[in-house]
Amino acid sequence: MTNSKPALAIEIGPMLEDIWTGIPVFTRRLVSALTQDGRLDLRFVHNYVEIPVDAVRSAMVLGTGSFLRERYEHLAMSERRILDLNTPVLYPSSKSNLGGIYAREASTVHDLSTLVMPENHVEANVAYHMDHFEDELESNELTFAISQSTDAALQTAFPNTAGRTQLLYQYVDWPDEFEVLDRNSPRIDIGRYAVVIGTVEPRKNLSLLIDALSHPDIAASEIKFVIIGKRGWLVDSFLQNIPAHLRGRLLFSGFVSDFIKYRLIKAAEFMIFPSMYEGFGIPALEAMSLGKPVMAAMTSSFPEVVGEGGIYFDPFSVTEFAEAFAEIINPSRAAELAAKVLKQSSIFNPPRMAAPVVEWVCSG
Amino acid sequence: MRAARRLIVSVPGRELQKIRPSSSIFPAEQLLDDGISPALRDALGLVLHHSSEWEQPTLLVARPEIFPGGETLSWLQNRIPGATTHVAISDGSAVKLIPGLKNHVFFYSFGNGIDENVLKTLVRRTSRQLGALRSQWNSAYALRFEGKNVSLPTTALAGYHNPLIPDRPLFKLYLDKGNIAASMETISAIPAIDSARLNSYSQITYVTLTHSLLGAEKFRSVLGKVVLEHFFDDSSALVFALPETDGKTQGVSPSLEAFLTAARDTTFPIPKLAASNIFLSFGELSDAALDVLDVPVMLWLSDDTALWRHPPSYYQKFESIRVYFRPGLMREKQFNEMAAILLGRKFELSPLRFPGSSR
Repeated sequence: MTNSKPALAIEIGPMLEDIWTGIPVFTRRLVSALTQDGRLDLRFVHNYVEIPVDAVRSAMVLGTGSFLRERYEHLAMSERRILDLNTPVLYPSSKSNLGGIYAREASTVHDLSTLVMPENHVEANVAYHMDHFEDELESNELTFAISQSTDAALQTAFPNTAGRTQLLYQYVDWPDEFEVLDRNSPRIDIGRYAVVIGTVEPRKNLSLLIDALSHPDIAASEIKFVIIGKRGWLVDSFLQNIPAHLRGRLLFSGFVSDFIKYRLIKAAEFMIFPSMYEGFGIPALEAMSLGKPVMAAMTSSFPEVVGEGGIYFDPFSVTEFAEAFAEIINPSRAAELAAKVLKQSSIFNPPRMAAPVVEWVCSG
Repeated sequence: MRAARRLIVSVPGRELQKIRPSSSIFPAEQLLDDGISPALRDALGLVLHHSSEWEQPTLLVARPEIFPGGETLSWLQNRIPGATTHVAISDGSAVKLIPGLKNHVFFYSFGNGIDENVLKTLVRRTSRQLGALRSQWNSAYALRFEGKNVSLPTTALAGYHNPLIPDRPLFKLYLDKGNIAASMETISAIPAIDSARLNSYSQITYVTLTHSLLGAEKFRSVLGKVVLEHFFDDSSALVFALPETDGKTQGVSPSLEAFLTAARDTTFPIPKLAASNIFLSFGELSDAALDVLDVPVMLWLSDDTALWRHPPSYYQKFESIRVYFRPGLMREKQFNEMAAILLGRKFELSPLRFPGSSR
């Protein structure tokens, strides 16, 4: 029986990673959203070779690309088929291969930090992302941007993309069992705390929090700061600059599993996201999905993602950071924010992610 | 430059990594007190010197790129009331634009140790972004957009004061083409002389070098020829000011090595002995050193020399000025007009092209 739905192939290169964070998770969410939507005949491809649908579905259940990669690498010759070049292909990130092969292509831009903040990247990384980027955009029928902020940056840097971009908002999907598992786990007993996203690398701007620790209003509060993410090589030198009695206020979780992250966020009072620049800032959405307001830097994508579920500060200003801190720990303001965050997080959902893709495929 | 309400300035991100501004937007003068590089200090100082043409104080936006659009851009705009114009002082690695403002770029590092290849890479990656700029300040690069060389107009801002340059000794040139390292050792071992000794010559040719000029194959022929000529005419002196480092490189040997390598790679044989009348200075000669000279001094420059580092009055010290020009990289008419303002006097433009070349 012929499938009458329009076909779309997703380039699943990111899903071949062992550990799924960032773009592999974005890809998984995209596939889930389109599957739930059901209007497209979804196929999968990597380096022009079709990947069996069941292999991708299995990987999504397992949450790792290890077996998927194994399957791809050992596909029998009889199983290997080049994807029909007339099939629309969507790249969930930048194109890893030569663009312009398929009749209809779209790729996804997550952020332009390698272009606008090259000093925060090694040159090889900048070259990887930027050397063929203009060609990639040229070969796209449509370019998806994961936020208005990324879209605006894209159109400023590449004015010829105007009218050929579309937003592709992602969403948060905690596994159903996390809630039950969390309820049945020992309480996190470290007192009042805020979760902080970021390592001590320049772009993540954790140094602002460290500078702010000495601010009288923050020093006087009892709030601790649980920093989720790699400790980073700059941490020790930063810590040396703050008084010893304040150092105990910073707790570093290191790299944690999704479940531990879920637990740490759920038990926190709020999240602090001081990053200078984010393409989207999914941790902010994760916090809001668990009812936590966000103290976010007034930068890039935060206002559109956090909306009224947070309080903003100038990413360079200790004074504004302290003012935002005072506001968010105020019980009445915290309650006001808490009432808004779930609504704000709910506007980022699978149907919203699927819609622009379906629209693009069906427009051809 | 037309008067406008407020000028906004931004600087390269790498210059902000060692300092911590107190907010995203602050009076631009504040940055002069922080730990920025000497080259940026000169460039920012020049921009601020000329900013009196704007009605409101010039502000510096630490990271314009974090306010790309929507609410963040509105937030920025609310904090820079009256802003109409933005100049991105750039090291060539990125050019930041602020949507809604007239954006300009000031490539400040060239001639002071930054490789022009960085700019070429940026142009290759984002040619259209550069096409959105209104002008380039104090440069006349021919940038390639959509397959054509289309130059951004140039805005010329003349220098306003001489930079503080220390007195520097002059080292005699020695080149063993087969051994650059030994040549460097020999140069440093021979006693250096004071610049006042240059008065014993009938005239002086003073060549201020840049890394990109040394890297230009066509200039190497010029270099080899002039060195050889001076070996056989000890009545006149030849002084090379080696490129200053960009602050990242320790010591002075990279510039010396680059110079000796360029001299080695010429086709001219160079006598393996210490020249009595060919000297090397690790950076430009100080004003004081030039002022004591009472013999004619001919200045040779490169088209990427930061001509704006000195005021036009500085260039009056010289008997003549020759600017070595790379036609493929710069727009000749545009460069001529800019240099006339920055130098404030007549000069000779000397294109680096082979005989018979159409360019």
